Amino acid sequence: MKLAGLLLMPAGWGIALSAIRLLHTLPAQTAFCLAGLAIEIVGFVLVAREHLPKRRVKNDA
Amino acid sequence: MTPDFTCLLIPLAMAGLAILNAGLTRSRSTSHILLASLCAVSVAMLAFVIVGFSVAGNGRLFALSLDLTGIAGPLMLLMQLFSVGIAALIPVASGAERWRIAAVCASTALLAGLVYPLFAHWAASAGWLGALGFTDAGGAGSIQVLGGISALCVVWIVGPRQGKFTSEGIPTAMPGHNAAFVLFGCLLTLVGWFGLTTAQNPILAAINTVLAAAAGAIAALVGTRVRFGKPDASLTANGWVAGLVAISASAPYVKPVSAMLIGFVAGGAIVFAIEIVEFRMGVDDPAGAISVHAVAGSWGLLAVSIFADGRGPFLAQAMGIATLIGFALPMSYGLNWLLNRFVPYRVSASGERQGMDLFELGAGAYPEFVTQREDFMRR
Repeated sequence: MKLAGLLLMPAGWGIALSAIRLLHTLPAQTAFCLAGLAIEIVGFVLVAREHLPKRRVKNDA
Repeated sequence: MTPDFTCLLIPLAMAGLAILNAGLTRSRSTSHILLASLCAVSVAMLAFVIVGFSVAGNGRLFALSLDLTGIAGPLMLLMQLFSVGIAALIPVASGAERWRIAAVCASTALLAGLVYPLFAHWAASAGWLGALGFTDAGGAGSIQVLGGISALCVVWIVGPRQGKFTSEGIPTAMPGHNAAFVLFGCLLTLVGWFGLTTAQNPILAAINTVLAAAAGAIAALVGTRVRFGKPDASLTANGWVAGLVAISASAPYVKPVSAMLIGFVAGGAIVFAIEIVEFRMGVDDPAGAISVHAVAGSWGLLAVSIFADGRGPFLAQAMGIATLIGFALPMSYGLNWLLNRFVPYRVSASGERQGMDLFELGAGAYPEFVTQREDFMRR
């Protein structure tokens, strides 16, 4: 999942970049740029979750 | 933006940040963090001149193409050297007490030689982000957010300090050893920050810088008083620095009342951001550098579009932040991950227990005093 997150971040950036390049109206560019940012944040969350401290499960037996 | 001679103040900001970070860590690693800060700044500047200057699109390797006859070119190089030095200091604070000096130097070389110059080139007026209208007068994006992102990558790779998280994943308190360092460092940082923000409209920029720092400190002071019952000195200091970081992008362009608001929001936000980073993300950041620099810096970039009339359209500022998260973060993480394979980042467990000063440097910062409870407590 860490790798997926690390790939999602540049993918989101790619979407934002493409929006700037391919779209011509400001609202459309802004919307897609924010969509790309949202995908980057999803990728960031995936990477962050993989770095949470490992919790030892208590054996109650 | 053409820098002027006020950039000669920036080393004071480096000194302030270094001493502030030293105060926020434990006494067993004080010399080490200050030496690591010195090494990081040195390596960053050298790497930038050797490689980064060329990567930033300014000319040839070793800055051989720099026109030494004029003032503008050398001043621009000087400003960039100081800027990359500050960016390099930020990860040192986050990796304190377990990040080896050799690894600090290697990682800094990559940051200064590759990551920073790329983004700085794009964000400059001649780059594609600059052409989009991206406005970042004092380096909130290229220095602060980039430094904070690098710090996060380093901390993810190097891991938390021993004993920082319990077996249930709950963080334990590891307070800094010297509040005097922390608070004095704030004041020193303010003087140095004038070098970053006053290249344009110097008087207005200076007023805004001071007001943002003050508002940030008060916001953090009130926030910690309300939240914890007593004001917290280290969080207030971080609020002060957060105000400075946030105003970096817009200091020459906004009204003083806007600067106060920018600083206030930054100072208040980092009280919560530090908690989220530690408790929710499980990241051990002794100096709170990730929250102060990355979070407050991002707010500062967005604040340009809100408060600076006619500058920094929202799309351009959002694109800048998207570039930092979507490009700089994965790049920094990948480079640091790869480097860790060749130059181990983390010190050994016994070395960390002994303290970085004694283990890596052979001498503590406070040789006359017992600094570890293990030295005098009966087991």
